[in-house]
Amino acid sequence: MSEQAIRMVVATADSVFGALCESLFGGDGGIVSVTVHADLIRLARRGEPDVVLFDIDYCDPADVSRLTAKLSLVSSAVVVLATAYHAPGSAALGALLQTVSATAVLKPDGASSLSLSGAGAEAFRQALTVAINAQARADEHA
Amino acid sequence: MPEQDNGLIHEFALEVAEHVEASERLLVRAATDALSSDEINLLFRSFHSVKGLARVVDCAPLERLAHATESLLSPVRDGERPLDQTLQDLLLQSLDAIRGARGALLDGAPVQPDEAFLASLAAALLDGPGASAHDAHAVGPAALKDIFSDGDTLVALAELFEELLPQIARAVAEPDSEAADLLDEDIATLRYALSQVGMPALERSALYLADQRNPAGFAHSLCLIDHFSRLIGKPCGVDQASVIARPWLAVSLLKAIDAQRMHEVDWLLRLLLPTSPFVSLVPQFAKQDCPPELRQDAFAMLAECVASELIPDAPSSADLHAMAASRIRNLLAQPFLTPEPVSSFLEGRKIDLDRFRTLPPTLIERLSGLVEDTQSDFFEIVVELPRERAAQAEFAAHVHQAVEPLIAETMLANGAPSLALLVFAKKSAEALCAAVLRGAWEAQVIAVAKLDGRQTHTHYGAVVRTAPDKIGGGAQVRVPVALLDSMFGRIGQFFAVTTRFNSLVFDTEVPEILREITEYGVLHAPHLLPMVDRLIRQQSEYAALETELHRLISVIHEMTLGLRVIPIDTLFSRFPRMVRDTAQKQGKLVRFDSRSNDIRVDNGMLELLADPLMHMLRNCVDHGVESPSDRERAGKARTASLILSAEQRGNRILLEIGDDGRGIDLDRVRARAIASDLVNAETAAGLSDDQIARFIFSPGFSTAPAVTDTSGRGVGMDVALVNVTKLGGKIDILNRPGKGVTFRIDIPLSKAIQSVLLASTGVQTVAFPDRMVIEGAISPVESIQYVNGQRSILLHDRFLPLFSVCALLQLPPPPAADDRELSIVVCELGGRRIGVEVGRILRRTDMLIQEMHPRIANLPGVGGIATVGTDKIVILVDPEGLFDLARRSAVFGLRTHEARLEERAAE
Repeated sequence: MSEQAIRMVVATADSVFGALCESLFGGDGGIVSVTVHADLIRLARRGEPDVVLFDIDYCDPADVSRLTAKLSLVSSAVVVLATAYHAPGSAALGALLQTVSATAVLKPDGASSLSLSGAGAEAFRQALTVAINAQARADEHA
Repeated sequence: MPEQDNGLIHEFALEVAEHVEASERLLVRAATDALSSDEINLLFRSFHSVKGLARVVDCAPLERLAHATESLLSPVRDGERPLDQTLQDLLLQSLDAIRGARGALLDGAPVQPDEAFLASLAAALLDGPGASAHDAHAVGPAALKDIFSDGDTLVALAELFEELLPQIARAVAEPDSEAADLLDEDIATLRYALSQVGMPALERSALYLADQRNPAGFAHSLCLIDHFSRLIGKPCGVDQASVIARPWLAVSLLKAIDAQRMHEVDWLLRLLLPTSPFVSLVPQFAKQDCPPELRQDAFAMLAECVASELIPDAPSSADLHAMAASRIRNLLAQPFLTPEPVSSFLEGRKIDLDRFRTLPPTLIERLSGLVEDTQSDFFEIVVELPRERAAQAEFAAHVHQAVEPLIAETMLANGAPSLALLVFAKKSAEALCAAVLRGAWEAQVIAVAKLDGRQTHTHYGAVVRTAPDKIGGGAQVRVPVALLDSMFGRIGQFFAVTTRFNSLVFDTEVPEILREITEYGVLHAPHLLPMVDRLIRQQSEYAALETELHRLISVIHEMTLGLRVIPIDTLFSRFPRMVRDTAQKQGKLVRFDSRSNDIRVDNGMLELLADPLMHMLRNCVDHGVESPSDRERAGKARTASLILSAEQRGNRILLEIGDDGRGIDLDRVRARAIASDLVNAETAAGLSDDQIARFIFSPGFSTAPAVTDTSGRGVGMDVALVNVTKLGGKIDILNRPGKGVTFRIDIPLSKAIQSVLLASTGVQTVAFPDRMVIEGAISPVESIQYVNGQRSILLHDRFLPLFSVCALLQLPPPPAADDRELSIVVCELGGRRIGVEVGRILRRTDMLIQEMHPRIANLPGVGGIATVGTDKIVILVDPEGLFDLARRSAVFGLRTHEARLEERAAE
């Protein structure tokens, strides 16, 4: 999937992370909408996004499962989970991925990750592209 | 309602008031600016919280009211209904009703449900456009309806799945069966049903159910239907279908593992072995950025485990799965585990290790570079965020550059979105704050703390991690002003005690006595020397103690003064609603903006300012702002701007009320003033524009053609001037005909708390307000000269007329003394300077001025009284009065004594 023209919805409770994603991915032709989790389904149905970046920090795992299940019924968007505190291999991330078909990316420095405004931006962009492509291939093939 | 605990009711009242104020602010703004979804959510949560609070105090009518309002807001929150004016009005009325119920609860009165209003809320809910707000991008006919709450449709869909899925599975897995003939028809039926309920993704994936060449697609579709089944709690035939298709799918899964096709493995595994730990591991180890050797190992282990599950008669694999999964998890986690030197470093610095068990590699690298740094400290900074998202991104970039935080998180502090930063730096807390606030940001640092394990309420610190603040900040208590004043008096007593202590400790004779005893001891009584030594040490400790005591009392003194002042914003927050209602009644559009600039003023002053500001704002809306059509004709925006601002300048406050309306019609004011006999036509012709404009402050003056419920009686502006004058202030008018008017109110910062210079006459302590004092000077008696008969001294090459404070204020004369020096307070008012002779200049301090007895208030030159210590009364000098007294007693210029007497007689 080309990252250049993606329509992305960022579902996050952290407004600064949302704002940084908006300025990071919205600048090169992409359309980025930032929303709180409660509005995700509505926005996904309206905007038909290609990617949903789902910020799982401080989000109840049961809510993540429920919302992504609903999302998969109404949208073909690739779901990528973003987290600052659930590293690969951790039990918490494992429990989530058991029920949610998604890949995860790690935020560089905390829930808001201010380095996305500078040095951390490129690495995060690359990690997200890898995650999107991996998940997109799975969904496309399916 | 049962008997309630008083404390609980007060807590309830405080919290409800905060929610009501916050909601009202948002709703008033909604009249001119669309609210963001975050703000709508905040509004919704406020009513929700009020409902919860009502339940806590067992007030069912209020709970019903809040619930009904919350229901009305629900479609707004879901984007199905706009927050239009009808809704805004209803919500504001609801806030009024909540305010009323709160008041009744505080008074111990019963709260009655307003059935008529509740009915109107219910009617508004039913009349709402609901699903009518279709969007151009909506998918399917039911796109914006909440399909997940339409129980009947969902059950019907589940029944359809349950009937068709086993048939479809048989048709795909056994192509020669009879079911294959119906496959296309079954798929078409399913797709049509899914398109009707607005599930486009599931509709598209249903296509895969018919493709025998795509087992992963088949599994994907069944997994989605399984999601649906779980969401609504109804069977959908997925189990049956997967059992029928299992042999075909199992072979496909083993082939996909062999080829390391992650995408196929993922869905087939989710369908066939949903509880296998590999379900969650495949997306983690199959990614491009995972080390190839780990991916290779993991796929090999997965193949072994899956074969043992799916191939008949293979040995049990339960342990094999667990062991393999655990090994892969450990390998995956390895690069993210915080290494030993870093974890010891964090632990040594008392940082909450739970947050740092695993970290992104970049952060591990940064922390590894810090472990040797013994000069720097960890700080937590909580800083308020700008409201706009674009500004938040810019602010985040600025903060990142300024302090390079290790971690940043958004949180709510004092009800405002804020950023909590963990910073490791060599700087002081103040320097870090300054760095964060540098630039044009109007941000505010809410908290800053060095993390040394002693804090109890830090976000990142080791001791306690608090939940984000609720709206309105932490716990509060209400304290009567009288109690604060009494406390202030006690602190005055403390000051008196410390002053006495100071004079004992620093008695200049004691060191001399000790020196003499020491000398005697050295010569005649060496055994006394250790005792003398001990006395000297004790004397020195007393001195240190006195310094610390004085510092502490000064701090307490300042803090107590701070308690008596409250943010001017608490007053400003009353006006948006009033402006909105007044404008709405007159069909005008007004955008009201208030800028309090965090100024705090004395509580008593706030009450005196309330009326003037209200009248002036009303006046602006009534007379200044034009109707939208008139504004359009005048080439202005249809929405008028009305701004109320406060700014501190030294020890004065400048309040401005400005609009961009039509300005004051001076011809009309002049005509009205002449008609009301306030001035004759001849005099009026010679008056300046400013003098004409000031007629609007005359009692009973109005240019309004008719009396309405808000204007026309000519009372408002009169009240405004009277109250501002009472506060020692003045009002200026900046009139721009056709472009608007600005009222500028200039008042002293606090009438009740004043910074003063204390002086003593020898009998009486007198306080000179700081704003009139230029300096304190000591001058030899010989320096007195007489200029045209007036006592004067030459100070800084300038003759300064000299007056005795006792003579001016008619205070008892000081006891006779043969002082060779004069203590002079140099005062200035309106560009004139005089010297006021006092007995002794004491110190500068802040004083709480108390209510005066009318007799004292009438004394010329006296502006107030205060107490120091227990019973010592201090007279506060009234600058204007003092200069007036000086003018009367002065011998200026060539005036003779007789001329002065004549002038006095005339006055």
